[in-house]
Amino acid sequence: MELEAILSLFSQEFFYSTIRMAAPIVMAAIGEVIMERAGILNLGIESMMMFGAFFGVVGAATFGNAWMGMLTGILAGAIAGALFGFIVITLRANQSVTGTAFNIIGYGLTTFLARVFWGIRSEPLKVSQFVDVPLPFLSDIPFLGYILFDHDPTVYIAYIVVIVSTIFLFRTIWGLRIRAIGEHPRAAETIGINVFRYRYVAALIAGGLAAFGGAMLSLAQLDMFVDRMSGGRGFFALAAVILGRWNPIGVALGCLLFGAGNAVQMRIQAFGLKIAPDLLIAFPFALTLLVVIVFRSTANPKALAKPYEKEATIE
Amino acid sequence: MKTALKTIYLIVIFALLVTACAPKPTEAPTAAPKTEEGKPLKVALVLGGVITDNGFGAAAYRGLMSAQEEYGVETAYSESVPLAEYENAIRDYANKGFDLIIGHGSEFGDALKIVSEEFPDTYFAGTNCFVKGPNLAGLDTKQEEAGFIMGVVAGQITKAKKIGWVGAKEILSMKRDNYGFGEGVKAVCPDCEVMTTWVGAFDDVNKGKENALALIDKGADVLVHNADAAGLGVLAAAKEKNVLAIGNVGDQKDQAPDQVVTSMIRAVSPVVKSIVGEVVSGNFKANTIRVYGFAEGLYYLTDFNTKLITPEQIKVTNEWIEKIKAGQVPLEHIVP
Repeated sequence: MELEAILSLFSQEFFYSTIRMAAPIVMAAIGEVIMERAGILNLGIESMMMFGAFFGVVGAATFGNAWMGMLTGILAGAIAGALFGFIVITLRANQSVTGTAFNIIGYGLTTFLARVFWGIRSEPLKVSQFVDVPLPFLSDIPFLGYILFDHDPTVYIAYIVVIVSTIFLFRTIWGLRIRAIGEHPRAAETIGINVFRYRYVAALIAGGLAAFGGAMLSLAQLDMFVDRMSGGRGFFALAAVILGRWNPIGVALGCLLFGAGNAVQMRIQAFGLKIAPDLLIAFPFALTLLVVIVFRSTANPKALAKPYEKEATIE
Repeated sequence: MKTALKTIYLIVIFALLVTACAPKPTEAPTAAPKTEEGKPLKVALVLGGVITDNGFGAAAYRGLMSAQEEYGVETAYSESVPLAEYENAIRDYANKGFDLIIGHGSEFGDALKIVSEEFPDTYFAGTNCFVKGPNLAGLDTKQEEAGFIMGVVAGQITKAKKIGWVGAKEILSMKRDNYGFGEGVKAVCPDCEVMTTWVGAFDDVNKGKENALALIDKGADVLVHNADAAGLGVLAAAKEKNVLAIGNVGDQKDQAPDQVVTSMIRAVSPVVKSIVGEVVSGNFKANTIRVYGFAEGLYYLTDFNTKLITPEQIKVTNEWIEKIKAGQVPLEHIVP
């Protein structure tokens, strides 16, 4: 390939596409960061994205408005998060098994409900969609303006969530408590922190954020629900958490790496080189795996995935 | 101990829930008239995918429903059957007394061959399969013909001489379609470039859209897809960026009314109907692989959007369709 051809891969659209593909995963992964920081491993993140994608469309169809759809989706995700929390926090079930069961149910239930709600149709139901809103002044910045500030509102919300979650986790008392619970819940309880309450809050936030990411797929990037449309993004979010070392900004960078890997492999495919397409499709996943191996990390919360039994019975 | 018990309870409850969600044979409601022997003919369809995939599976489901209407047969179908369960699913229907069992997709070949030998009085058929037997019919659909005609349309309507083609996965039937497409474009526009990308999934509609946007970024002004649900994303991209597109498998003009020029219908219906007809009439052709294409009515184009294509271009397209039907287009017939 000539230099010119290689450079043409990295067009303005390439960077734009990278951000758009990364944003839903960023939302889901930041929810997962908060949950894992509180010591709960939520493998069921994919199912919560599916609930967000599906109930987002249900809400948008019912209220005729993408924002109401988004709220419906977030609510459904938060309920799923609360249920997950009840099973793993209060009932202390195995978190991996529960998460896996959630994923199976997430795919099955949304497919089933879609047929119940809308029947077997030749084409999916179309609902109202978020539209791109270029931010005044910012979108006029040469080159970068279009890439960063010419998206739909959900992407801007994702920017805000990255910043707010960083401040929340590392600069507030609640963030400190959540991190303490994830490292040593017994010690946290000894100083009067209600472990269960904080873990439930984390589960609600994680479910809501994952559903937000799912609803971005169905309401911001498209205007419809398709069976199994989350396509494994929830699993990538889990990898991004490790990649980003349980830090929202690191996680966002991990998601961008994945988005860029995907955006570049699609463009390389279009060149028509004699490379097996399956290898190119696997490229972003291989890249992620490589980065995880090279930058090994043991920064995981020490109490991650361990069920906690309350000691204090009197509050 | 209490914790362990609770965990076990939960696992059991979830296992039950999961099994409850597992694909089950779905008996479609039908008022089946009786055949000569007095019992209604029973036809089953087994799919690796789902009937709501907006593509391949949906087409087979429509075929099954139209056979039900036309011949009044009793129908049933199983979706999302994993590869390892193909044989069992087919055997299950044979044991239940179904008269014709159709496996949908090339990957059903081996399972159909094995079970058809166990049940000599039951008929079996496999779409895109290259197997045959005394009671087993392989149904070879000439994907390259459909691809060719889509290429003829795309090669004429492109102004940039760059066409984007998005496929789901590099499987035989899609490769045949892609090959035919390239030949079709060459036939009408020798210096046009076809850029091909594969999504790597049938149901990732967002990724389908991203693939299409990448092709538009690289200069394509006509988009064509063969990607089931992911193809809906391709049409969404065409709509968003206002580039021309061709629908596939079903009539997809509603996805992007101002961009979709025409749709290539792959009516699995005539295939399913003709095989059901053979069984109903008792004239099952043993040991034959049946070949279907334009001439057999498997493929046809929907009405053109005349705002997007000129009458001259439509005329050229129809001429090529006639040539294909007459077998005058030398296309390689790719079989495994």
